[in-house]
Amino acid sequence: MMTKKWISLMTISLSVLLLVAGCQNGNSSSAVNSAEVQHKDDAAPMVGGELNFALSISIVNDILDPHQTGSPQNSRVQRNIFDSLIVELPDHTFAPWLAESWEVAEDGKSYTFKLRKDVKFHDGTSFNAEAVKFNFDRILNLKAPGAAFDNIGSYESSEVLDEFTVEINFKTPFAPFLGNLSGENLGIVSPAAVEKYGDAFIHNPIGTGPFKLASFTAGTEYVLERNPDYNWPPANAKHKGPAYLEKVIVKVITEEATRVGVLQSGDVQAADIIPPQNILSFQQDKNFQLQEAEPLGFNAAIALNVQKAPLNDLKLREALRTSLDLDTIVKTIYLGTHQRAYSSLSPSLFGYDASLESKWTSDPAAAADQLDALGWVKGSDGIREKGGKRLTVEMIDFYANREKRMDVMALVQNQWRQNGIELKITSLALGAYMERLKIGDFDLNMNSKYGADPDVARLALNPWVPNSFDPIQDDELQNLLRQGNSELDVENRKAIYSQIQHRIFDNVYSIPVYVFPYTVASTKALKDLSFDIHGFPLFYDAWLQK
Amino acid sequence: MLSASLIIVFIVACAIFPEWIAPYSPLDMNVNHILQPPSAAYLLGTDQFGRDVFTLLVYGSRQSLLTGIGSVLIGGLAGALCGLLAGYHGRWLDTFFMRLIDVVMSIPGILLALAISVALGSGPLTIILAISVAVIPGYARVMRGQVIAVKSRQFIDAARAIGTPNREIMLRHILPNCLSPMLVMMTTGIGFSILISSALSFLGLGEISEIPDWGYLLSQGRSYMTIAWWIATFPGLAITCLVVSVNLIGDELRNRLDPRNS
Repeated sequence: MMTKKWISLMTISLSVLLLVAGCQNGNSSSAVNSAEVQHKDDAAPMVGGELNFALSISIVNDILDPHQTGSPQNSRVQRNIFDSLIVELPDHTFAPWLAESWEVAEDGKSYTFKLRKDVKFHDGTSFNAEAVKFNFDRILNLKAPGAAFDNIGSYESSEVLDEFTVEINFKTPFAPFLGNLSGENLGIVSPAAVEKYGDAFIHNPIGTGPFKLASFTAGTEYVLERNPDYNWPPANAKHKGPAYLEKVIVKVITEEATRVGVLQSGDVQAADIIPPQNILSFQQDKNFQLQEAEPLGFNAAIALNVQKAPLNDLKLREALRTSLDLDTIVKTIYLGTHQRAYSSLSPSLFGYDASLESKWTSDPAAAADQLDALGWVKGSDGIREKGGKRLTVEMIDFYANREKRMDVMALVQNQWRQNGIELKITSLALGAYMERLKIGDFDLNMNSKYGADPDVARLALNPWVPNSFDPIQDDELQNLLRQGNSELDVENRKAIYSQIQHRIFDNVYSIPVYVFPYTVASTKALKDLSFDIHGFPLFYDAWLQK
Repeated sequence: MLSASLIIVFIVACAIFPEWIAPYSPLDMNVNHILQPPSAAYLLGTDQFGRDVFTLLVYGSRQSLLTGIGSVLIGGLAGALCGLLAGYHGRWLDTFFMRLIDVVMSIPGILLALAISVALGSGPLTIILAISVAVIPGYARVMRGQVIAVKSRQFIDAARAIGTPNREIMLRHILPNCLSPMLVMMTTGIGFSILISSALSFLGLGEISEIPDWGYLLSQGRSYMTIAWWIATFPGLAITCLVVSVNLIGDELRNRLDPRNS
């Protein structure tokens, strides 16, 4: 596998080195393969202080309601306001959080949770079985697309067995449930606050979390204040009681050079999603540290519209893929800071099939032969033609080079052209982009999706705009996705997702490009910032050395 | 003045014969030489794809010049026509055009161009159109004022007295007498148009073609500023040089054409 240059020798203790080395061997048991700095002196954490955190992407519509948004940047803030019933550990087992214990029924259709009795919402009301039932019913009724509603699958109803025992029932077995339950989208909101604020709850988030929202300035700043009564952290937290930090001020700074600049100047103590060219310099700077987490999910991939000519030809799609040298592309654009992706699923996700890693290599010459054999012959300008039609594919995009995806495509364009394939990149406004997606008027686009369960493949592959065009239309794949969604046996489930990954690969439905590392650079004074399995930052254990 | 002319001649030469001037092809991505500082092999360094920045500037000049000149021509002609009609006809037509132009003028030019290019989608032609619309009011205003001034002069009365048709008075007698300020304005306008088009590309609304224009190059290089200053700096300098040169020539032209100087 690729060497990860982001291992900075200066800043990493031996134990972490071993952990990272373990991940490099493909034995990715840990989601947070972080280059976290272990402070050797292990000084007692200091209470108090304000952490200024520069967030890279705007919080969509300022919504801070976990049930109504699926955007990762919103989640990064929400995770610290709302708690979940359980927590998922890096080895994909689960541990208590707001629920002390739970049982799964034989048929896999109902789950019984015994809840903690000492939990209070920020508004002073008590957390109990009623509240859990309220939350699930709310998610069902909201039907918000792309968010919590996708995470409850075939949820049917909840039953309050006693004040602190709740039973959650499904129509059909729903395998991703526990994984989803540990995510912040199924975080527990205060029923009293939902009733009080109604539609305005999205701007008045009340949960049970270690921080509460003190104030916010739309689009720019969100002030989180410590919840002084907090005493119910997840089982894997480092300490008990309230958070150490007095305040966390989240500032939205989308411009990457500015974000790096304010961190270097000391205006903020931490900044996320550090551009590759600065990752290296932060690793070498003795005043800063760099942490990485792998946000689990569906890797950023070039999705192919296999319903439309010319990409409806599997042989052509294969030639397109073998023409590419993705190792070089990923290394060049991300300067060695990002891992190359082989499968549609991210490496630390349950069910990841490492056998895909050696499945194909770049071979432009073989691809050229295959294209010749298919009848695509190079024309006078070097672009292949067949029956008077040029071999042109069009990619549509609206992200404006998010995560340097357009830079990746520029190199793809270059490599394809050398093999006589023309790539046109059309940058659109969001509305126009959705419109063309809906009617299937595109050859390529680029997608990724976060999700801590391989069921994320179902969400990523199915058209995310209701009633819209499905560029794949593979019944067998749909079948497998449904099976994976309801299979409860762990080994069988693994096998199903392996089949799914192979099916996507064999049919070249998409070409995975890179594994996105969520990065946070911070001053050395910030200690113990951690990440949950989704790669969202947790401010609970974090503290500032004075 | 001489250096300004030389710069323009050079940039125009770049735009017409880029392959004679540039040492490499703009499509060459030498991934083993990314982010190289300026050197003998790469005069102005290489970018994040391993492309030669000097080559990119040479090839990008065509797009910048085309946008600058194209939008000034379209905007200038449309503005001149509006101004001519409004100024000559007067009355309701004048009121109509001028209020319309007041409305357009109340929106900042860059914002207007931005809105238009978002509505029409990206592409070199839309950028030119968007900028053209944004610059129309200025030309229309100047033209109208000029027409009104000329209209009241005696030779126009004379022409009218012998029964010359309106169209001929406008085109034969008024227009030629209004051209010199328009010409000066259009020359200096080229610089402004190039700046707006660079700004639009910078904001990601220009076309993403394989050969980036200067504004796009500048915005791409910006995020590498801390480790590779040359990617953003040289396109910035190129824009500055071109705009300053065009403006200097515009100034010179104004001095020459100003009747009070002769």
